[in-house]
Amino acid sequence: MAGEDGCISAERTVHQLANAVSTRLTLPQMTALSELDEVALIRSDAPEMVTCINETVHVIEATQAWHGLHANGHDVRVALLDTCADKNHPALVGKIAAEANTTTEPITVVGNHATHTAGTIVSQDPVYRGIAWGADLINIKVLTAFGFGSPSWVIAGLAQAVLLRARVVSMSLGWSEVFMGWVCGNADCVLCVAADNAVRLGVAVVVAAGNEGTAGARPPFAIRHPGAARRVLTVGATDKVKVLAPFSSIGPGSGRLSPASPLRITKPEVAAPGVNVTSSVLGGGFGVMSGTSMATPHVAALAAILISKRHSLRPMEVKKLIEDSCQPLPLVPDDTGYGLISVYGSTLRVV
Amino acid sequence: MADPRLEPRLEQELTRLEAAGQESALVQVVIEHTRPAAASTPDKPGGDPREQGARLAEQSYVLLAPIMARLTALGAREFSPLPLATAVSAALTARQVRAIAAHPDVRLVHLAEPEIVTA
Repeated sequence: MAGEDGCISAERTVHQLANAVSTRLTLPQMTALSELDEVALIRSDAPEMVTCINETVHVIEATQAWHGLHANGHDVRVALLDTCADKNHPALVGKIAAEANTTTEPITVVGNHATHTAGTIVSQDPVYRGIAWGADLINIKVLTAFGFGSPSWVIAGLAQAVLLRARVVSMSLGWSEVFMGWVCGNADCVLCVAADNAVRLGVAVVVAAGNEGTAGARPPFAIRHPGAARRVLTVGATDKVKVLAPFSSIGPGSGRLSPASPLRITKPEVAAPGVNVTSSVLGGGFGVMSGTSMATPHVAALAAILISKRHSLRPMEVKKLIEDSCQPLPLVPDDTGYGLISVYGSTLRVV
Repeated sequence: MADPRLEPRLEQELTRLEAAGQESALVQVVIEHTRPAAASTPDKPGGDPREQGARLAEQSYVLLAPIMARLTALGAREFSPLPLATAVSAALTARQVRAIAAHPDVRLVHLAEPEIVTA
């Protein structure tokens, strides 16, 4: 550690626990320092907005529900259709009740994306605690570890969720008409039909809106499929100060209000935190990710909490409860629907 | 003229394969039925979803039978029903895709090759 010769800024802090030093450097200083054998890595320490789960729980008023209403999703099965969560992650150990695989990749190949979304629902970590930490997860691999998926894998995964008696499905995925060439004229493509049928069979289905928002360009029908399906709850993303994320796909969906109507159904229905969300990642630690993928499991967890409080709830009742108790946002409905979810507000209606 | 029953990106892929003379190359597709079955017991809680799902599957298999028979007649080897969506997943040659798209029970054929779909 240099100092007396003035090579390195006097503004420095020694972090003994991390065996590291934080300081401010010029580029030449950084270059000189990086050549030392003792320096393994120099990281940026610039402040950035990081939303930890323990922050998002406040944004969606989950802590009030946990403590005031003893609501944690106890005994409800949530099927996560994703890249396959790492069941050996310390925050997820013991939380995975069943597994299935509809891809061509072995189920032992786990994915970071699923490990992150799983943590948002059921993490047992005392700091980065999942929203529905009392729920059980059904880990259904419908995507490869790198996020590649076929519609037939997802449809087969939905069927598995029904067979394994899930009450909630969380899907942080979808096919876009505008950007991926998927065709769906009236929320009636194979993905939408499968998702709506899963709802009819008793499963509350929660789906990501997509990341095709363009910060003002507002492409129509950017909602992905099966997010466009009529019976599913489609989720947009906000940051922790309740501002719509620029990437969050806006509606309306592809479904028409009636067969002859030029008007389309409002999508997404709700929003949840999806910017810089910290949750479990591969390797046993925690990491930050952004996307409507990250917002979706917050809503799936809320659905689990409501069902744990009243097991007789039907999926469409769950959907309406969540919509009707949102925190309003100053945006038009096709941006964030009814608003930002409130775990406390929704749960209060069923206890 | 493009076939309206083929997803445009699938049409492009078939055209590419045909231009390259790859007649035996298989394309992964999902075949949509014109009238998909809806689960018969809407939103009912508490019942056995597997029983309800089995009824839906029965309806779907009946609806899909003519399409499955046509695929067999076309010499397709890799196909399986997706009863929840009243659809069929199949690996077909370009010729087989164009032939099945002409079946009266088929509304649309999607390209279903794996792609990145995480959000």
